[in-house]
Amino acid sequence: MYDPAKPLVVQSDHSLLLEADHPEFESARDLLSRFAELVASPEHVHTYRITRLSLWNASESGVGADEILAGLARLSKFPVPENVQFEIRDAMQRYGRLTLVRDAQGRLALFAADPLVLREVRGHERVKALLGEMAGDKSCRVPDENRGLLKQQLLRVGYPVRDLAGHAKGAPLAIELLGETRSGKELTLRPYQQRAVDAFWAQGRAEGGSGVVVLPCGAGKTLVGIATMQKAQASTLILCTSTLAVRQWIAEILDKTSLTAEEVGEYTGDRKEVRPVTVSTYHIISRQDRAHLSLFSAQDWGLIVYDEVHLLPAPVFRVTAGIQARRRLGLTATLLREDGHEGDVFSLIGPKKFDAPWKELEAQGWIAAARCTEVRIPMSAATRERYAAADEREQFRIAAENPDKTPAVQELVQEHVQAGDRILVIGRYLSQLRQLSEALSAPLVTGETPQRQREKLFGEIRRGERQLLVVSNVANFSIDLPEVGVAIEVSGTFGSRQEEAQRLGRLLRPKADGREASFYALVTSGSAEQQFAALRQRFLTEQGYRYRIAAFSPKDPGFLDVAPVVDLAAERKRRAAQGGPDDA
Amino acid sequence: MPERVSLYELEGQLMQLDTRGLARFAERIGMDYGGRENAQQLRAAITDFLSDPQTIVERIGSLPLSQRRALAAVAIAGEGRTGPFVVHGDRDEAALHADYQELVRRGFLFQDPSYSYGREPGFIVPRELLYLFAQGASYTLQEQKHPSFLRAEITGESAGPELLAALLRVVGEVGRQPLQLTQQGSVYKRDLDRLRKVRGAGHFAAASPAWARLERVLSGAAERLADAPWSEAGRDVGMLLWIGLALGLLHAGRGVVFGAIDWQELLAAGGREELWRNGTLSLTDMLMHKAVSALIVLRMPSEETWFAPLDWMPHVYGVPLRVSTLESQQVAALSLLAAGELGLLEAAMVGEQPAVRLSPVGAALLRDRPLPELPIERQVRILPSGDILATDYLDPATQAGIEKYARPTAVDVMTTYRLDQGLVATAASEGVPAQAILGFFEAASRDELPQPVRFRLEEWLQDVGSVRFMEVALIACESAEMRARALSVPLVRKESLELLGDRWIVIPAASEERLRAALQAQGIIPVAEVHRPSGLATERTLRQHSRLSPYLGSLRLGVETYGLPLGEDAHGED
Repeated sequence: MYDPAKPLVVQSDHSLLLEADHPEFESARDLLSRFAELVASPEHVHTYRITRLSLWNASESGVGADEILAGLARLSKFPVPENVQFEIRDAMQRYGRLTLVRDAQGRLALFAADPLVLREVRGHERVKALLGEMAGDKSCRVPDENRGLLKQQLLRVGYPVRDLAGHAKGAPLAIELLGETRSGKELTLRPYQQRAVDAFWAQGRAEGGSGVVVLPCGAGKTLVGIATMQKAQASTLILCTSTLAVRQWIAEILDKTSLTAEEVGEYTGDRKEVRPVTVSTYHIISRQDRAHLSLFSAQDWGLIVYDEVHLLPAPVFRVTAGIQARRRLGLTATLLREDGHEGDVFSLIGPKKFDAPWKELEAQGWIAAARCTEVRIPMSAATRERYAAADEREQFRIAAENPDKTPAVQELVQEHVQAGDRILVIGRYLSQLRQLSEALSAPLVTGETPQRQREKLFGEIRRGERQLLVVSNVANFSIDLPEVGVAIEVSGTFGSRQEEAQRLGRLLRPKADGREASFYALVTSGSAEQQFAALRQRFLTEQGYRYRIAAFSPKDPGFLDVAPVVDLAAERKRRAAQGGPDDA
Repeated sequence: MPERVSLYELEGQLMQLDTRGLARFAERIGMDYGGRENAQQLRAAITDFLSDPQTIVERIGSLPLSQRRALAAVAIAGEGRTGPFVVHGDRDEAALHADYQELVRRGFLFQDPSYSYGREPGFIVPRELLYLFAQGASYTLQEQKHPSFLRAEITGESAGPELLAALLRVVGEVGRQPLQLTQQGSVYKRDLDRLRKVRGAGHFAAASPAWARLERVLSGAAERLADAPWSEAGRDVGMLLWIGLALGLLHAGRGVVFGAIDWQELLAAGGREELWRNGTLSLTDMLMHKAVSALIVLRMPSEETWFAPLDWMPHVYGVPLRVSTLESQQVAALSLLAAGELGLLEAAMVGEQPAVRLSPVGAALLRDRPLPELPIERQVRILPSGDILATDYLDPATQAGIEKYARPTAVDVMTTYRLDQGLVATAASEGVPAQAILGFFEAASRDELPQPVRFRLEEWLQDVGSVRFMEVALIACESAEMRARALSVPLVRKESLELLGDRWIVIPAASEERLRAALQAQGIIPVAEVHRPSGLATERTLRQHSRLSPYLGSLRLGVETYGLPLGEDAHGED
């Protein structure tokens, strides 16, 4: 029966609408996050979606259909639609009906408690081709090399298999997490980091050892990876998105563990070191000549870490399908993939083991609050004329490089420099960035900047010796600049959710003084750029960030005069009351 | 009369009347025509009066029920023409004819110049008015153009089952009349499609909880009908028939039985099986499809069970039918559409399959289950992204307002809309003040209007009207010197809007005559003809004309009229 006092609406398309200002919001959110994906979390109403994958992830973590349905019934204003109930029961009863196990002789087998299920999946040609001979009516042998492919195919036919066949231990390697980093800071895992490690490891049982940990940028995913290495005590292969990220991983490992430089190798375009802990890039593994695929078998790896697993390229999926006996940890800020291959991550890396929503960590003070402002810049008559005469592709670029963005950037920079903030000006077009670099008297970091020079400049920013850098897209991924509090995006690949998440992620590290981060996107008004920016705006508002739009006029400065999103004093007080860090 | 004006158009009908006849006609239809002295003015005024939606609503609302019904029969069912309807179980042909004559007198119908039924003349609704009358005689929640009495019923409150029972009795009554199928089934389908269109049904997916709307209509109507004469006499079914039509419970085609087709089976009326047995498939297929829709609903095993319509088909047909699989699929599709539209079915995807079952109101009305309580929470949440979430129980004004500015993106327990720049701009350009649009959202939103939404709305509204088309004329001079001479004429200088290239002057089109005279007074004689290029002026056409001018021998000064956007930079070089 209808009860308007409750906080949730369950739609028949499997989406869930949760009132964010409802007194029961937090308990409802805790429940929903166990079996539904958070799709959007703007002000007022958050949207979750129940999918088969989200339900199977829930099954994996021990949540049952009855518990879900009871929770929905308790929270929902309207009766839960019948088809949603049906889907939840149907999906969840499918998970775990098939298991991959090892028999007494250590041979891999697919087991089904119900012989009919086994018969049904054998009816699918692609599944059958991966299976060996039957062993009784409930079990069927599986060649070891087919373990990953079989999991993929079974997922596709709607019977995700629980992989309980265990993992190889790998070559032993003594790794200790230091109580104090080599740079002299106290080191302890935050509670949620510890929970993530424990959820993944599952006390070393066969249920654990493969899966994905979802944490927002700035929440310390690297440390989760390192702590997992400590659990595994085995040689480890780490795959990242760029050489810079490789070096940051190595620096972190050496700073926070007992490992020595001789035990940690870099396997990139520059160096080809294979050591007990080897850090490499997806790029080199995915090269067309396949010259470096042997890295997966170069050592008896006991753990493979996939950093930014949502970017895992197809060739790495294929290799991963063949190494299912290795422990696999995926680290990411989002399970969303632009290519829609979430199912492959589920079957080949493993189910989601831990997820902590951004906003929750932000509320607890583990990551910085962020304030997003879209600044609309008009076009001068001359630019407008050029824009009008250009073709569509050119138009985007003309709008992106609108020269009138420069005074707006200058004003923003001036404001934040005075406030003592460290600032990144990020853009896509080098000519524009060079011009800005000159106008702002700030160094420019691009793909052409030598590695040593980049590291020098980033080091200066980290240490507070420098307040402002102009960077190209190279700054988007896996660069750890925790003290940068302001990002000014002057041009971008608008519409890419990944890029926006990464750019904002640069800012989300907790600031020593609890200061909130600021993200500005400069957009030329009345242009194609504005249409693309609308996609970004949608993404960020759906991620829960308060988003404001301000109009800039070169003749009328003061556009920054928008109310602060967060009352800093109140925020610090609240964090202190919650036991979160007051100076992270 | 111009050759191309047809007598089936209002203009054609009015063309037959002279000034005196037009004045008499205006008096007859209750129109104030004072001050208009010639036939052209009178025709224009009558046309405006007859085609004004608000006037139509009021005029239809003032008609007696029997005349409304007759008008609906012609406008909705008859595609604007009368036919030998056999829908009047309690009325005779003479009464019907009297209604038609009265509708003619009031300016709703006109005599069909080419068609008659036996000794009786045929009647038409002029083409220009057909859609308006159909709409006025229909029920659309989104547009407030339905007759006043129906509007009252929409907002009324009461229980519905009694009314539905009464409706079903009417349907049964009508259903027992002999059917005269004078057209193929396709006519019926066309009517159905048009009715859907008129009712704006395309807005709502099958999963829509439209039952709430149905319930509201039924509730209000029941209350109203409690005092209606028919309920005592049990004979005057006009009101029910009208509501049945408005809701789509009753349908008719030209010369086809009026109403009852789908819903006769609700009373398991006799005679249908006979029709099915005797009628050929080609003649009755569409009728059967609709009847089967009703059967599917009625023969469902339980309102708790979802089922795939196609799986259920063999159980639905009570009599053997020669239908192919394809036709069965069509039947299923139509079933879903019809019953879903009426809110009697819920539809959803169960696994990979579409599935349906009785909605709560369907179960209440058709299976004597208790009618579900109508939720009273009415709320609109506007999100920063511009998405609008609305409960399905909004008052019609709020709902109509939202749908004026936003497009539905998902229809479910909560309906989702997305703000639409085009709709907002259209409303603004039609005269809705920007402040009213913002004010509407502020008032409708449960929370403070998010800043990005407010910014975007203001931005959109700011742009409205900033571009307009103007009629301008171009003074094209043969040389720069000639233009300088022309500009030395004070009036030309004063009226010039823009100088293009080195030889052209842009002036308001309306100033052409005055400037021509002013130039002539200064001894500058423009060519007599105004050059009018066939297409819009572009840089290219301007160049072409500038190239042409030297060859025009005696041409010293030309005046060319263009639709030229101001501020466009044209180059006047040869």
